[in-house]
Amino acid sequence: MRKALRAWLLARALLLAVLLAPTLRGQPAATPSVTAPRLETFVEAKLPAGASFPKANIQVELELTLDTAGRVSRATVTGSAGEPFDSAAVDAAQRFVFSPAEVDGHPVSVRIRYQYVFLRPSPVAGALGGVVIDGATGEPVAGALVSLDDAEPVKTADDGRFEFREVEPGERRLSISTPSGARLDTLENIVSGQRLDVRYRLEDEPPDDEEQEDLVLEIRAPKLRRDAVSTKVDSGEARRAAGTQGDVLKVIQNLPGVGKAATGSGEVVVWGAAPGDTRVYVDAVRLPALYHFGGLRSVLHSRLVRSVELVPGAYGAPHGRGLGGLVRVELERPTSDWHGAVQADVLDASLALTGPLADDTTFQIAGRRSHLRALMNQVVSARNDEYFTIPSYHDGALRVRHGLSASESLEFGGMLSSDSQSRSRGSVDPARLRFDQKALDFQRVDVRYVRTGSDGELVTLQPWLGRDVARRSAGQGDVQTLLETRSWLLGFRGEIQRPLSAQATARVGVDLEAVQTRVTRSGSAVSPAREGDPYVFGRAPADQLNADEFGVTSLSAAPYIELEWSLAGGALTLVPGLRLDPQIHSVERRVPTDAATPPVGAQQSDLDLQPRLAIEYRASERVTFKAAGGRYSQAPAPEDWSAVFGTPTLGMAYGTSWLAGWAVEPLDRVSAETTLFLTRGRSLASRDGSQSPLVSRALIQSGTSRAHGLQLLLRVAPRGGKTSGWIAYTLLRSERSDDAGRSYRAFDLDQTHVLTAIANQDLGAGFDLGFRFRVASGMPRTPVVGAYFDARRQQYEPLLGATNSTRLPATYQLDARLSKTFGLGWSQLEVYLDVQNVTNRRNPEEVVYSADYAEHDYITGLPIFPVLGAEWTF
Amino acid sequence: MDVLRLLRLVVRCAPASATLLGCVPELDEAPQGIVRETRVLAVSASPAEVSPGETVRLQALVAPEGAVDWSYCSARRSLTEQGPVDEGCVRGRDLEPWGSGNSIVATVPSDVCSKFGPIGPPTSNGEAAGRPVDPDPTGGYYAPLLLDTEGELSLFGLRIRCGLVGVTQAQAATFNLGYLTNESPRIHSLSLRVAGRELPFDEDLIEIEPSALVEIRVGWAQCPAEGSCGDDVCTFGEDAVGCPADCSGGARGCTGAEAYLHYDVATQSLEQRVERLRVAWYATAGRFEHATSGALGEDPATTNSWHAPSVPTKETLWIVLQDDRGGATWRQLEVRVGSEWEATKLRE
Repeated sequence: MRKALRAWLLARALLLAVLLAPTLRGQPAATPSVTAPRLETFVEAKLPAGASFPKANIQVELELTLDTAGRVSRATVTGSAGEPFDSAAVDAAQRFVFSPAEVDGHPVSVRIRYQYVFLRPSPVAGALGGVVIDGATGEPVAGALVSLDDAEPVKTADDGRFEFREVEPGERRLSISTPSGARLDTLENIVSGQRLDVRYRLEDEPPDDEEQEDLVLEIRAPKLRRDAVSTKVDSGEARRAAGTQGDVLKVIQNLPGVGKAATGSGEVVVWGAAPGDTRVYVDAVRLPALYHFGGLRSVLHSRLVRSVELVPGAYGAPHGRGLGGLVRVELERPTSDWHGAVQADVLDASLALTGPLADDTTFQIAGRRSHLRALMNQVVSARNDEYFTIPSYHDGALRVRHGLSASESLEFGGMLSSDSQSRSRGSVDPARLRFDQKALDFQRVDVRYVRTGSDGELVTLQPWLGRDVARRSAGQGDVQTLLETRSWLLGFRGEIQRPLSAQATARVGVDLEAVQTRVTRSGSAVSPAREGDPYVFGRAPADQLNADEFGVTSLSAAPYIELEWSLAGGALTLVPGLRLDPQIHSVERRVPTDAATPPVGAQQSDLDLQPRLAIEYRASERVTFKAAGGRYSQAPAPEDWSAVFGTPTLGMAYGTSWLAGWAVEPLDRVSAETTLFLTRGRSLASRDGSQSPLVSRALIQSGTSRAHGLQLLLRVAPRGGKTSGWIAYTLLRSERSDDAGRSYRAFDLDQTHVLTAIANQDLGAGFDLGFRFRVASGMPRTPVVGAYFDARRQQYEPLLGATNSTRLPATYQLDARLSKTFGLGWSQLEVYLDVQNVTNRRNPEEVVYSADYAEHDYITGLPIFPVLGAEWTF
Repeated sequence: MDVLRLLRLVVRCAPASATLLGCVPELDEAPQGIVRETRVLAVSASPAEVSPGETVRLQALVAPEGAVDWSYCSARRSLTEQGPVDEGCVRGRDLEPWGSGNSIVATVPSDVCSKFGPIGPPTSNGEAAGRPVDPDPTGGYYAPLLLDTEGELSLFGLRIRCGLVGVTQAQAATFNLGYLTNESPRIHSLSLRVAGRELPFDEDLIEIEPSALVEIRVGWAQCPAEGSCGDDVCTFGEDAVGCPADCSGGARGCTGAEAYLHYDVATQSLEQRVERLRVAWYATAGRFEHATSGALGEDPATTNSWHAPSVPTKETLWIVLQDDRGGATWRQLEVRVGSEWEATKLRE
């Protein structure tokens, strides 16, 4: 937890001379009895925020005239230290109160010299705590010596825990040596006002290799206060969660506020918002997706991930452009020690390596490639190949970090990801040949500069460049749909975080993003289906077709400011923020492509001031109340600006997000959080439901949304314990209205109840066992109430009931994960078995109809699905 | 662990779509091929493609038999409709009765191209233009007709000829001169085989033994890719000016897969296309291997198999041949299942 900035002043009074008042003259030459004045009321000088100290101690020499009551009647500077120190010292000294000076028992007026000393405030300290674990046994190590820089080492307690308070921010060298001889030296970045919780797992050094250092396996990153409600999971805990197949980022699917996505969709549904409304950031770099197709893996190798955090809503001013939640991935920094991992299982194989390149320069590289499709091709007959394919993917990342100084670093990075999936279904009728293909490729390069000042200042600059190519095509016979977007992205985030006083820290930055997209779309105006369309799975698309190709450029450079203000001795924290979000969109065509008419473009601009506020009140050491709210905006998807399929003059959609809740920590490792939330959206794009829509007005902007509910989280943290896990429950109602005056209907992905329980148990001897149990309400569907026959196309068409007025049945799933870690000298091998749907339950994922819509059944999720794999690390 | 065995287990389930990973249940994929109650199987228009204000003869294939009430749906389909027609019409709204009976004659409304074609709906002064309807893959537009057969609803799209909008004058002239109105296809040949032997049939009556597997082959005319003046077929590349012998005095199109002129909105150019023909198969009992089939190669024919009922009975087969520009024709066969005479003959 971030401690409030302590700026303190030390005052010293030096009585250099006492000038007796004239009343003493003419008295007998007896030695008078003199009592010096004594400072009784000290007033702290107030310096303006951000005042810089040229040296550690600043002295201002003053001459004070005290009246017979001991009050300061005059204060003059006799030894200047410059402004603002002189004025502050005089202003403070004039409010001092002394005991009167006395001569022979009578109060007298005196002049004294006083030296007001300003001491440079200490940087806002951070804190470092953690636990040392024996890697072989999983037991906490008592008596291990832990030292931070050159400070006196401390010994770990019986539970393996240690703690350093009041740690100066910046990169600090941590050394651990266990009684059995295992040793670890590592660098930890202490952030001003934040506490870093770290879990170190050490193993004895191999006797024949004294050079080897052991591993930092699990890092628990500092908790940030910028968002009132967020759930952060460290990579070690996430990797052990059942159902994740060791993929750290997949743990997001199990957090409170997150709905259950359709099996294999890989979507993140947060607080009833559309998946595309939730933004994914890796450091400051925005990604188009968190998971590969099928949701089998995340797009980032787990060894690159330090922590992942989900903020379901009401997040702070640094982020915007989205009406949904926020997923923040913090990257692991390259280390100066050699570490690596090689992993393979049924799904894919991967490699990760980090180590030194040169003095002060380190690197990390990781890559992954799927092989499930190739494996399937070995066992699937050619006929079956027509009916399905398995997603194919690969990803990779490279980062190089150079330490410019003890407090500055520069990091260059790049990553890429590629996904493809296709499916076709043959037929003796060419009009019924079906195919469905999609692909997503993206690349990112970035530069990250970080400077940590000794005064608690933290500067982060991160420009990045990206390329996204997304393609989705589907068809039945000659009725084919294509949607392709090819985007260049340029982003930049620059932020300065600086303590202003003992109680306040400011965060100022700019969040820039420019996107140039080329959109190619053809097919039916109603395909692919939008949210709220009365969609029926398997229904042949309408055969009225059109085509459009256009470019759209969007630019947004949003400055923001956020203040973290501690009151009531740190019990109350206010985080007000303000974000100014200007948006400019330029579309190539205002009207549809026409051979007889030259293209005319359209431009939209928007300036939105977005206040944000988070409040946290710590009622006691174990009880905290929270509340937050804010205004948000989001640009339409590029394809919605089509003159044929959308509306080129679409503007921004706006929303608000509010929450209130409390958190209690009844035990050291146990916490419980309850959050009530409420979101509203307006100016959402939806289809024009009139029978005579206007040209270039296929979409209107009259849609509204509302969602409310509560989420609960009961968590047992892994800190030093053998058992960890959480229970997350979300009660949600998410609704949409597609046009003004229309009644609200259930949102396509609305799920009333989502309960996820995760449990991990360290069994000892290198065994870990984990379970995940999940219950989720079925998603809304539009019922089919009848059918009619289309004689021209020779197919039945469904007659529909009210949109989203029924639901799929609820789903229940139990997953399990068992792993065993073997020590192999300087390395270790983990063998794991991750079994999804242990009970082989047939969970309904979608309703499917017979060709005449007279019968229906359910597409069910995957049956029991074991993934056996191994990871070798060093 | 036997990885391959596990994979085979997983193989039973697969991506049901590009966004869904799951196990698809086994549902009857072709129930529409079996006629269990009175319904419309196909509609034929003559001419197969009509202009606004023209008169058209419409004929419905009703199976087994029944009367039809015809209505014209005057409501445009909104962009929120996923189906081919405004659902209000299916529920009985915005319908204009056109007549009753299996065959009627009607006049196409004069505003049909602004309601269901490329001409946007009329707007008041100062209003932006209305959005025109998008064409189908063949460039066609369709007026929706609702057919009510004893409570069973069917939809038919009557192809309307509206010309091109939003093209250059040269393209419009080329299209108007070169586009040939669709000619409904005709069944040119029909053959049935059981156990590899040709099955004779007279007056559309056949006799087979129970559980027989009947292979049915339907053929249609081979249309020339380029017209030859004097062949009595007005086809692509010919017009009334260049070849009055074939193209004057009414269209005499090819009754197979015709070539036709098509405007591609993506490339904004005119191109030649060839129709796709397909057959829809119906029977009162038994089971077809495919509900519909089409020509997969160059051969202007398609085949299907019909599994006859296992008990003696008398059934009816309907073979509906359609082109993808809305033209249709059909043929009906009566089948006697269980004839001792025929069974004996087949065993020889």
